[in-house]
Amino acid sequence: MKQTIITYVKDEPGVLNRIARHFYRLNYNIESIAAGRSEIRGITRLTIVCNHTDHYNQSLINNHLEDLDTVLDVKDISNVPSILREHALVKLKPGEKGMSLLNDLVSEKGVKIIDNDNSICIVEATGEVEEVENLIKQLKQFEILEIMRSGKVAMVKVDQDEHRVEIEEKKKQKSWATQQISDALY
Amino acid sequence: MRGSQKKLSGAEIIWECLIQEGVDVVFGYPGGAILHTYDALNKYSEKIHHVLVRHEQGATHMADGYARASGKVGVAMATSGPGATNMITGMATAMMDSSPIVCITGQVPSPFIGSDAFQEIDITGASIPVSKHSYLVMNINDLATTIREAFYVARSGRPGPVLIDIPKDIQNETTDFIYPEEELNLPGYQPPEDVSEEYISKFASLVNDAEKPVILAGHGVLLSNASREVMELAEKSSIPIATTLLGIGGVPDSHQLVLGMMGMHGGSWANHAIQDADLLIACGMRFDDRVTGNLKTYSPNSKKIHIEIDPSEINKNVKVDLAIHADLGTVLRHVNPHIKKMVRNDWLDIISGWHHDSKQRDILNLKSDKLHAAQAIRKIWEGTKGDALIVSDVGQHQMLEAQYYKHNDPRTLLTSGGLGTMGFSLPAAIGASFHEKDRGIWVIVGDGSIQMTIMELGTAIQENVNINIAIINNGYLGMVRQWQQMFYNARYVETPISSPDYVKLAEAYGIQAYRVDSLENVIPTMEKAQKNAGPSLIEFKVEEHEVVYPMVPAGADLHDMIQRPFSDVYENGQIVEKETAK
Repeated sequence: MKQTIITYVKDEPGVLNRIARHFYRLNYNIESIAAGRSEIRGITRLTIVCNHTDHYNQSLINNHLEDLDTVLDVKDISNVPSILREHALVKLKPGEKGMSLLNDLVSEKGVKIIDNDNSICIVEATGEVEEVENLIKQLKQFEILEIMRSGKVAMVKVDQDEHRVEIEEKKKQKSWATQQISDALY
Repeated sequence: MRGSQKKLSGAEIIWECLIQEGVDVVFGYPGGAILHTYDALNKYSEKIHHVLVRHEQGATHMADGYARASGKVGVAMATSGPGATNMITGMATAMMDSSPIVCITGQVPSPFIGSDAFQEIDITGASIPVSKHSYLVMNINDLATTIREAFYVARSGRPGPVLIDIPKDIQNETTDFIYPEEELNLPGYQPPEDVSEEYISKFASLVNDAEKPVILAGHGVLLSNASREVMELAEKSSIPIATTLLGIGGVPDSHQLVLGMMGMHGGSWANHAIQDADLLIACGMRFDDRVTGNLKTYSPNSKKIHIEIDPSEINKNVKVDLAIHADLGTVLRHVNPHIKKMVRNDWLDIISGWHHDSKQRDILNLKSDKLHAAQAIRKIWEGTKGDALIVSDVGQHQMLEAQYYKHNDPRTLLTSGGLGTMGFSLPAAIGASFHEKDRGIWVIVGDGSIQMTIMELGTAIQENVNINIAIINNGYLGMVRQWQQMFYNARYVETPISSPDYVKLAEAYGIQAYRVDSLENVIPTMEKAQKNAGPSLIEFKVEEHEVVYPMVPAGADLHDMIQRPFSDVYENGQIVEKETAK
């Protein structure tokens, strides 16, 4: 089973370690992790994709991560309609015959050749996760030297805005965690 | 075993695999999550001896002591939760001193993992910084391969502790057991095998061109069994050798080229030699801060060769001119034929000049009826004819042991160097006693250290191990007191420490015990103790305010040592006769 999680974390040393250890503890494997600056200064946004066995408690990882001081928010978007995209670089040897095939892919599928030297080139594929997956499959007809994938990056769709992660709001509510707990109790 | 299939439980597989790895003794403590495994031990008790410890930290130190004495992998076992966390200190000790141990812990049943079940702790996670590797076995079919891999990782390359965490349900499940014999698949872990010719010739020419070389012999000399090769290099090219604390015994202390220990409490002559050298040949050592002092002024005029099996140690503290990432013994076997025969009398004469000065200041020259720790340790050396396996703890007595007990054979000094774990010695000696049957085993331990793991006296008597425990009792946490005396204006905050009556305590355990407070009684009492077949204990009541000299204050230059003042030993050119009565 796969799970996609968006988190906002403080941009400071060790934060990845603190998060990753919870996945390790539950024996989950992190399939991909994409990190970068968010819309808020000093806050990094991560998209984590993990897989795990079936005896999985949906809320466990979220609760563990929420608990961390360095984590501002966690949202499991596995079941929320979202934009999931990926970026891949593929270094390959098209060979003499392959060049025209590769050029077809370029014109039809939106693949870009971004570096080319003698018989080796680097191809860039970007788009919906499945698209990238398919493109890489098609590129496998050439001799592939290296593949680098960015990992899934995710954003909840505009019409699903009730699921949007809103950090600024939460930061204003000083004791939002306590609030949530009492909401759940009463 | 190949091809023969048996239906075995996870617990039985654990013991089968340990037997395959050549394990015949395991140090451990049972508990809920490891009970299946202990139950299965019944079936294997003829092949594997289990030592019931009094605290899981003791189990890890025993496994560590066994590993250091034998060169084999030591095994410790404990239950989940507190049993596992009690192992952390022992694993960290083994990690810092590159000692191969495998720790097997029970874990709560796999469906409960992550739920904060009773006695659950994420020990694979908690052990990351203190272990070479750690495994959580979630599938019984991975169990045998994991154990095999764990032993390989623990003993190969730079050895270290490895943890295997096994949930209770995995211990109870059964599967067809075939001992895995295929090659291990460890793409990210490849200890080096050979050395390139280019490095060998560079190494040889650096040595042949040097005028004032010094060999720095570390723990790697022992781990690589390279004592003979190091001595061959030294003798051929007439190179003096200074050792690290853990390198002691790697080269014979009685050899004229061996200068003894270097560093913070090392011989001043050894430190001066390093500072004055034009070539340092670092053999399996890691330029620890206790060895280098101030890095900015460390051996400023020397070229440096570093032979080290762990690439992360190379250029870490000290930038070197030639780094060889390989097994020390292999390198030296290649290099030695290219080394020219040389006699370096001028260089050796300079060093013995420094040595002479230190000999005059030596506390052994002091005539006193009070027992001094250094003198007691020198007597232990005499009383054991320098042939014992010594396990020292951490503190002043550890440094005095390193200075005054001369070791001539490898693996005859076991001590916690890197982590400086007080309480290491007693359990480590118990562990070592399961390997070392020929030599006498002596624990040299302070009154502070012994009280950290004193409960292992129970293990010592239950197993009736033949060890002698020498408690150097000065009523203080001596090394801390020394720092307070030197750097905190003699404000002895929380360093005076009381002790139980060790003789009575030992007797309560059923251990033979003696007390010594004068120099002339040391050897007669030792003789009595050595006659006991089981454990015995001697308490040495020593002078309280003894200071270990020389000393390089933390962060100071290595040549900037505080020497013992002449007035400690001499007055008006005469050896001091100190109080004859207490």
